[in-house]
Amino acid sequence: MSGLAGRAAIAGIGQTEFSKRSGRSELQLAAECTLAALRDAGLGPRDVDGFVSFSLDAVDEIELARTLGCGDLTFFAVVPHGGGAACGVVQQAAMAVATGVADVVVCWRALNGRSGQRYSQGVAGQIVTTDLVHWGWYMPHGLFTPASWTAIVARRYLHETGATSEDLGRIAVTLRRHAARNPNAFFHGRPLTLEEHQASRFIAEPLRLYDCCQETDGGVAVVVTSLERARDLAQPPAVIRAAAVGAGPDQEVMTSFYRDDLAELPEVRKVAAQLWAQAGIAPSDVSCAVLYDAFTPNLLMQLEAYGFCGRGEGKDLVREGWLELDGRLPVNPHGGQIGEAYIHGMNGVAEGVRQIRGGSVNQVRRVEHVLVTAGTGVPTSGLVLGPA
Amino acid sequence: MRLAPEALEARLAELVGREIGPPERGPDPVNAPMIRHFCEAVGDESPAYLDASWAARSRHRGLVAPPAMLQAWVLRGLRPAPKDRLGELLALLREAGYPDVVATDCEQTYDRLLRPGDHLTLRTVIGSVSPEKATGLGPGRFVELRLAFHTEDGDRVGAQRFRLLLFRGAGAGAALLERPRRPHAPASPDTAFFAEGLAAGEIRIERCGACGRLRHPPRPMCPACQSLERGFVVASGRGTLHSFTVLHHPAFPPFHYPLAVALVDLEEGTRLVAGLVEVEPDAVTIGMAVEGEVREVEEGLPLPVFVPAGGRAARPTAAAAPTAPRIPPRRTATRRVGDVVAGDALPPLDVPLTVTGIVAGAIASRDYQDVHHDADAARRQGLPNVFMNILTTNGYVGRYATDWAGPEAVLRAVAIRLGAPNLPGDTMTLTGRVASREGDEVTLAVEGRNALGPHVTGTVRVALPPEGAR
Repeated sequence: MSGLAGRAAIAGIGQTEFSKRSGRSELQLAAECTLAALRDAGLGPRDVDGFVSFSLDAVDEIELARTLGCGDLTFFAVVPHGGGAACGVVQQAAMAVATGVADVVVCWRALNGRSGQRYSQGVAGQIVTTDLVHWGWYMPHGLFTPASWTAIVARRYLHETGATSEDLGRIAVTLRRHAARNPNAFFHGRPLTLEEHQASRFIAEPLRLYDCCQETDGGVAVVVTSLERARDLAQPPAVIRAAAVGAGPDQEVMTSFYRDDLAELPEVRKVAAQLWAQAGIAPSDVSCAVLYDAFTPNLLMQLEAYGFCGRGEGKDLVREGWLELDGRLPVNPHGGQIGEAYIHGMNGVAEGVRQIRGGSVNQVRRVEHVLVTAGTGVPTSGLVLGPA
Repeated sequence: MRLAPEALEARLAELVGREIGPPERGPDPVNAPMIRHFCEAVGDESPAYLDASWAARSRHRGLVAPPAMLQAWVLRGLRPAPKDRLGELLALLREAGYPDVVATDCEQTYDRLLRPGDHLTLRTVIGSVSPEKATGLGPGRFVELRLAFHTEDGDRVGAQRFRLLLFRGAGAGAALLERPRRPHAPASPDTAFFAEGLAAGEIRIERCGACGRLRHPPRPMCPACQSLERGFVVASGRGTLHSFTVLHHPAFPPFHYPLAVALVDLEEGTRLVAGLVEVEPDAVTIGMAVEGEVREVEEGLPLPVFVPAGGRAARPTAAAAPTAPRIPPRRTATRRVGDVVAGDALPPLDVPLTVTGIVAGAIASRDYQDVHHDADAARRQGLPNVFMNILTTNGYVGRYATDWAGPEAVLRAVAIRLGAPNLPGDTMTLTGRVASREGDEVTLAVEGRNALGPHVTGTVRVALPPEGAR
């Protein structure tokens, strides 16, 4: 147990609808989901004194604060590395609350990911990064997209572990089955068969279309406050039992191609070790996992790096049905970013909270510890949530 | 006369579905001299078109015309255009603010091969007029024409769908000439030695000046001993494939897809990402031996490129003089349908582009549009010189297919879409592969690229003789 464990809680969650064309600004999406999260907690904009978001978010927290009508702020932070920030924002908020720097901190992510800038269309001259030199090693050769970078790692992973495209397909089928029951999911009512997965076109071999997450317009926000205050608010608190970020040796953003072992995720192992230590649990104690699924291989590799199985055994867990709602490790009951929506992992944080509260459309029984994870292939982050 | 918008749309709606005028009879029957002119213009030497005695003994039982000439037999040449509904349609759109015109698609199907003496009559129907669309050339409207070709005895011998774009192309020519470029790596003091190496034809690996460790990508400090001293070694280029991907989607204009990109374990011990070429994507495997070298992948952009080991010696180095155009041998014995497998690649054909060749093709196909023979007219459209007309491109695509298939193959259809213009001084390289095979018919996917990008993409359906046929 560390100083952070159990000090803060997620007291409210809010989201916009998930769509392919929101028809409004990202600032408006951010304001709508934040207000929804505050009202869910029984709070209002004047209660907020801190904001955290992703470095890739287009909205500044001061713009959001003005839009909502907040008062003074005492804390703001931005977490880098794309979807790797999804749980890192909550860690920042929890630390601010635990140290008394802030009282009520909103973490949000809002994007017009389909109607605006689409990550699938490549980063050439688009993403403003502090390290354009880094992309210069890849873009001139045609590697522009998250799928293309992930494909290089995934090919090696499949080669070393013997996992197949069908194993990846089984993951997509499971997540789409979950999403089919979720009215908020883009693929609500639209399950996928393994045959459809295998027949889908290649995007970047070995990744097929249905190995890739969606692109979505929408926003999700969560409200973090101290556990004491959360107990007095409108919802049962989702206690932050652990929160961590991590980067590994020879880390690059999406292109850590120079490590001895390409089929490993040392940054995830770094996060995992912190989470288990803070929460005082082992992987076998996890009741439900919300694993970041930009691409299906991400999920297999995380099963191994979080210690749910040994190296190369992720495919066996999938084949044995662990990921199903009644399996030993129900994964992404909301359908994940493949089935529900791609909100850069923040919709996964919200699902983790719903599982703790007990109100998910695909509620897992007897939930004690929920693992929530963030972007894979980048410096990443994770959470363990639990009931008060 | 400029019509009000509602009146214009009403008139366009009336024109759609109508024949443009009475059937038009070609000025001459199919004849050997025009066939010879056309074959010379597109470099087609098939005896089916040119050698009467060979043709008489062949499955064709006599000379036939290149199928791509279909429309040439009915074009009016220099005779003034009649006052017909097509003239009215084009004038209406010109007045409505679409002064420029370019042919974008041509789909021809051939019911049978034409022979000298066939005399064609053309009926043209206005198929559709699109609403205004944003195109790469500017806002414009597509007009689709449906052409049917009959002989005097009433048999249909061919059909053609032809799509024109009428557009408002302020600076359209310039847009066509905008060459898609690969993104270049930004310059940095930390990577300058690598860029200088590429310019010198070397793949360099950073080496710590103190402890001698190699590192890639370069960094200003040695992560092992923290020394700022640095030098480099020159990689041999030998390595093995640590991983790779074959990219399909989305396609970025300067690249050819499927696109193989490799992560190579260099024999010196560092890794490098680079393109993998001269290998079928299906043949790429982890662990395969590869050889790298620096190639100027586009003007001013030298990059490391890898090929399967043993492949490097066989080809000229990047510094060598321009190579002669590749002209695969024309088959004299026709392929049998059983010899062909889907996925087979056609050898590339380089077509050097000259003013003479472009003008010869335009005139041989009886296309007297000024931009294909008058450089001043082309410049008024914003292009630097005359450019190839669509019927000549069609002829090259047809020739490419029959050169590969053999002289007794029968073209059934050629469907092409045009992109970047073919301009003098450039080279068009035709590549293709067998997309599918069904019964006696093979479908080829063909692409012709020049320095500006894809000039033509399309499919060719060709019938081959069955197994055992003589």
